[in-house]
Amino acid sequence: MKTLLEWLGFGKHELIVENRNYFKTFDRNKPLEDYEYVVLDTELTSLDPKHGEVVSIGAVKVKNLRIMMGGAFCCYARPSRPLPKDSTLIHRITPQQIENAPPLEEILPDFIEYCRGAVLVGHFLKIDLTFLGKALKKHFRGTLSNVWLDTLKLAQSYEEYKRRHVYSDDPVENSFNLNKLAVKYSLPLFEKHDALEDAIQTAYLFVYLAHKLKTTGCVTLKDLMVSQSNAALPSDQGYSTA
Amino acid sequence: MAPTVICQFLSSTLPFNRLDQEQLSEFVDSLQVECFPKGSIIFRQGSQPIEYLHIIQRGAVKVFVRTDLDHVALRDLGGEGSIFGAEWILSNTGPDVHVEAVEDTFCLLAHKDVFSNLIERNPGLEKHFRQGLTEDKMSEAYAVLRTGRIQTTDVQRFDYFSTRVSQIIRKSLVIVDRTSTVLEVGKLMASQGLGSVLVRDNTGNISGIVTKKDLRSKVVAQNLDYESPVDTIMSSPIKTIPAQAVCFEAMIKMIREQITHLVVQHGSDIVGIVSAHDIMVNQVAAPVVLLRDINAQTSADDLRLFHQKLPSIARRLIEQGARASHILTLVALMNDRFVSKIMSLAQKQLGPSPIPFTRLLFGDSGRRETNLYPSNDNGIVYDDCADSQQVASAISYLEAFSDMVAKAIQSCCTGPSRTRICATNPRFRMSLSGWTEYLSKSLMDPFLPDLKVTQEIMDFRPLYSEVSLGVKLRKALSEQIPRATRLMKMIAQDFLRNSSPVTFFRDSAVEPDGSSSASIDIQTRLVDPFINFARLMALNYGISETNTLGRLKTLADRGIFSESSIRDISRAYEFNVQLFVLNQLRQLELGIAPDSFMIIADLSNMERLMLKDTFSVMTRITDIVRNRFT
Repeated sequence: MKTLLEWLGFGKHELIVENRNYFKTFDRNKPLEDYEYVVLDTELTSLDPKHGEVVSIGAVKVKNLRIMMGGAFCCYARPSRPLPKDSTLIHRITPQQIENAPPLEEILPDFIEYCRGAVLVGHFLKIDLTFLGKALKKHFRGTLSNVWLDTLKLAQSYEEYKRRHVYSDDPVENSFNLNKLAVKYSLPLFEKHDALEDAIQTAYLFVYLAHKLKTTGCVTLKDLMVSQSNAALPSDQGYSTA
Repeated sequence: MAPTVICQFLSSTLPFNRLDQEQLSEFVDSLQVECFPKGSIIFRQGSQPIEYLHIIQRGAVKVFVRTDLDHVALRDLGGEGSIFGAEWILSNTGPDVHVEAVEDTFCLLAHKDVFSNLIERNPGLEKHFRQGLTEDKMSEAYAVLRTGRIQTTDVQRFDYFSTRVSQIIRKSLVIVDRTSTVLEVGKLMASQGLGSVLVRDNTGNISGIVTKKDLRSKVVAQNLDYESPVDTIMSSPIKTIPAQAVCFEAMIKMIREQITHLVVQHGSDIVGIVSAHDIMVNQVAAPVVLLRDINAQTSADDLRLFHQKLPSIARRLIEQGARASHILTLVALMNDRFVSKIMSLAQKQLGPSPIPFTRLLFGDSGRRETNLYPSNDNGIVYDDCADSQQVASAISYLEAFSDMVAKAIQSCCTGPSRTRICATNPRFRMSLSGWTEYLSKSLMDPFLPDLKVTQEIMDFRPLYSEVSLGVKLRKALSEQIPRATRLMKMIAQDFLRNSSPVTFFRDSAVEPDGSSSASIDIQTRLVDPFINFARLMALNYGISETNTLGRLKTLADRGIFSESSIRDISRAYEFNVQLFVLNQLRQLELGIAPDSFMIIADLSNMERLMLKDTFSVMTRITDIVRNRFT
């Protein structure tokens, strides 16, 4: 239960407060091209929300539905516990690489600043936001209030639209794995399991889906948000940045 | 932080592969990525100047122009690595074509300021983006072709396509008075080790040249009085070459004039003498040596080696920087000498002809564009004669002569004969009036199935014996041509039917109707359109020159087309000929029977880019023909 003081914003980092205030009155009815998006990906020590920690954040901006190759956000964070061996096998980050990296709480203010005013985009974003939110809550007593879009849900929505409206010999897509979608949609392929390269891969998927969903009538941000919340496959209603 | 995938992609994309690692990362950091769903228009013909250079990272586009409401002409297809917009940014103009995504396409976008800055820092990049076939671009492409298509052998390089005559002349120039005796001159030459001396007349002007050969053949062999004045044995007038000419030009001139020495001039001053020997000492297997060999042979059997030696000579010349158009001219000259030698050997056996005649060379031989496998299409024209008995004996003489020559040529050539028009067929062995009538009929009453043969015959050039007959025939033809409007139309229509430019997409050649194939016939699709264009224009404007580059040059000299248009057309033609010759050489080296087909997948990026440039030139010439003749 949140205390009254917390409700009123006391004890929260000023960036968190500013972020919350900005999105209170955020207009979602503008065309998709008019928003700035931050497409992000994190690498974790474990998927277990209790023990897992963020070890790397990668993010790129999308403006006017164009991916901005310059000014990407990319950094390693030193976890409080040593890296489990099995996680190294997945993201290929070695203990030596993060030995001298700052702890996550030192990185987060820059990241919040980077996301200022932007719509957050990720693939199965719930995972990233859960772990980021855990750290934000611990160190800054609050979470990000940014509006978000999940490319996994957008892909589900697009596939569902195609299934209903477009005759196709393609088999029904059951896997919404980022790499499989990139192959299916003939996107340029990036290195797997590197936070920045995965973020760029997600950004390609995002602009691709945004253009495709525009043809189905999703013209504004609100339209896309409705579209993702209607995605037919397992829903994640209710998850928050916390 | 530049993503590796994009750096790798640009590292293999011309001309960004020339950037160093630091510049490349910096460039990648400035890029934006845009997605163009299938069917979206990326550039619109006639719109405002553009802001961004577009590099296709994934997907495909088509480039087309809309000539009127219903007519859309496909100009090009672009895939991964294709670049759009550079020439518009450089010239600050708007797009002159439509570019439409035919697949979902991702483009890397570089802002025009970033692009201009990159070009400023790397001046070498600009030539890749300038429209048209610039000299720089051509030189680089030729170098790539040379190293990519044939394996270079370990020979000492003497580039006589860039070495100037002035660089190899002997500086000590010896001049004698015309009144000097043969003995004095002989002694002088021997004591100073000279191969030649110049002869001065009473006014001090150079009037002739005396060479060692003159002393041998005109003095010793003919037992001439050694006290005779030297002007009795000198060759006059002197043949000159400008000092800035390259050695190749000197060699060609010597072969044409059948001489061994040329006087080198700088402006109006004589600065030296260059001999075939001077060129040969720099050259291991010089064509000059081969020509000397041809002249020395006494039977057709001995000439057999001639055709076998051609590929190695062509290859050596290409390694030394020769362009294929030079080689075609040289091979044609050598082939002329070879055929002339065979004819003189035949006449040795048959005796002189009862009536003067000359051989007419048609097609590639007529145009002096003989490749490694000359077609040797030919005819015979003999003088008109009132004496019917003499005519009858000439007819049977020339029949025997033509058979003998054709057999001798065939026995010397490797592979199947490419000759389609031959004097062994009485249809192509006629008197001057017979030929005039035949050509006049072909001009005024053209017959479509004969159109191809008629065009090949129009390229005729006389060789051997009474060449003035060929000149007379050309004159008669020139007088008729202005009235041959129907023939011109037919040739133009034939040209338009067969000259549709193709384009490349990934590893296929794509026709305007969208059909595609993995290989392309270089001769018919890339070379013939230029030959046919030059012929059509030459006929239309009464140009008697038969060589394609010569015809094009005359069109510019007469102001019929601008110098820059003709330069582009000539360069595009030369590039395609180069590809043709190199393709044949490569096939020979791989042990494959040479043909004119080239596999698209074998083409390098540079070759594809150059070919795309030549396609746009082909589009321009088809437009010219369409506008003038239809």
